[in-house]
Amino acid sequence: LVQDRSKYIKLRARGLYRDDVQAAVRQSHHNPGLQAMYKSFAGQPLSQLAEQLFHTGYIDRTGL
Amino acid sequence: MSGFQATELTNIIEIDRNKCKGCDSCKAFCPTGAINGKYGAIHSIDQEHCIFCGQCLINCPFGSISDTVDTVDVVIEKLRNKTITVVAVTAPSVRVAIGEEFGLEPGTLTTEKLYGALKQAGFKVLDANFAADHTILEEGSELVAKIRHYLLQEPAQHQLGPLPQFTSCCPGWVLFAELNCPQILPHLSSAKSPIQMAGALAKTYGARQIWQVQPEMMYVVSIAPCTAKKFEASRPEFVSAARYWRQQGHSAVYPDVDTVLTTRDLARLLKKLNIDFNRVEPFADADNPLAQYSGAGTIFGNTGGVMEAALRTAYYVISGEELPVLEYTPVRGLEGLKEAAVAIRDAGTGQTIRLKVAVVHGTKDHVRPVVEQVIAGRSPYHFIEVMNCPGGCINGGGQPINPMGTSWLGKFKALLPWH
Repeated sequence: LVQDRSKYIKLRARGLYRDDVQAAVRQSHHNPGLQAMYKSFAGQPLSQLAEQLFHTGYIDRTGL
Repeated sequence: MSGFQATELTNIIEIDRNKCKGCDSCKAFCPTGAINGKYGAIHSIDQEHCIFCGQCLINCPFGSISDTVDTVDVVIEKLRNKTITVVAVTAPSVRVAIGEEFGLEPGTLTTEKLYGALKQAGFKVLDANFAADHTILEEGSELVAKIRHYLLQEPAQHQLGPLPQFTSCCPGWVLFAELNCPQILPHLSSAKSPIQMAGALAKTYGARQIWQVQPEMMYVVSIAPCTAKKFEASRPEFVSAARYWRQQGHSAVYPDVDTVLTTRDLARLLKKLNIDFNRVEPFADADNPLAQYSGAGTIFGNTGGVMEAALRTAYYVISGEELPVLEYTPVRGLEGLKEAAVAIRDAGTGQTIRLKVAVVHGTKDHVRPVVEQVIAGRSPYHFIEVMNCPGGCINGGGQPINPMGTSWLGKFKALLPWH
């Protein structure tokens, strides 16, 4: 007997899609708190401050 | 240990020799072949190849595998110290699974209960869903810049990596790429994961403008469905906030994210504090701008969710119009590889581009071929979302161990319905 392994995964996924559908704002670019943060702090995406705080690089670990 | 940097947490996942039955179930789920031991013999983790994803842990029928990093008591101590502002960064996947640790059905949306429980415990909240929206703005802008340069032939305004762009929010995927196929690294978005952005934001903008506290008196706790996040937070480069403040004359040194609790860890913490999740006063935290999030941000926990969120914004930024149907279903569901082509009319030039995207989840079976295609220069895609865990973060190694997910068929590879 093979149990349906995906059932709990599907239920959790549905929960998040429900959260999306009932949200007052559906798109990231319309998030008012985020717009306020850019306006008063980071400026705009990919600004110098944004690059410094919110971007990163990766490491070739095969040499480490 | 080779492959790792000095401060990084390793050996996060371990198999208990006394409980292991040698059934090989874990091997069926390990994406990197990091489990040693013949069928019937006691198994062990090969710590140099483990990416800490915990798929073995949540699928072991005997509960023989554990997460060795336990900072629940440390967090409780910080919560009790009234001079410290403890901030919980709550991942999307936590709100649809934490209820399972308290008898609720999987998928029960418990955001306000979660906020209420965290408030009662003494946490402030910076929702990772807010940070997910933030990631979309940063990573989406990076993608749009590449589209404008490579597809529309406009001069580049920033230093740009090549297409196709891979998402970089999954720490298991990032570590996998760094250990196994570093040639792919220039393709990864330079954007940090939402939680790591949140840590840096909490200790700069949060400290100064939201909570008005000293950054060195803050303790950021990531609450995640993911054991690999414990590794991610320990990466030595993630000290952006401290670096920012040092430029302004401060001298303290601290990480952006101080510690990570899995969904399971958080449930234990609440139980230790005698907070009954089912009886807790729900809290909307409506006055907190850092708890505001869009529907696009919350679906980050699902495979295809990051892609869908990015498409809603990329489409708007390029065309000036909203995506006509926000539910972009071609990227939803449990198929291992999902593909779509989105036609977007550029408002500036009137040209229509066909943005070819792919979504893969389950490193074990689906990610490698997509990566190999890119390395060979044959990739048909412009943008690729990668999640290590089948189904996405909602099925991460830090989630409640769900009995619906434990089946075993003797000695066969455990069958997955999406194979």
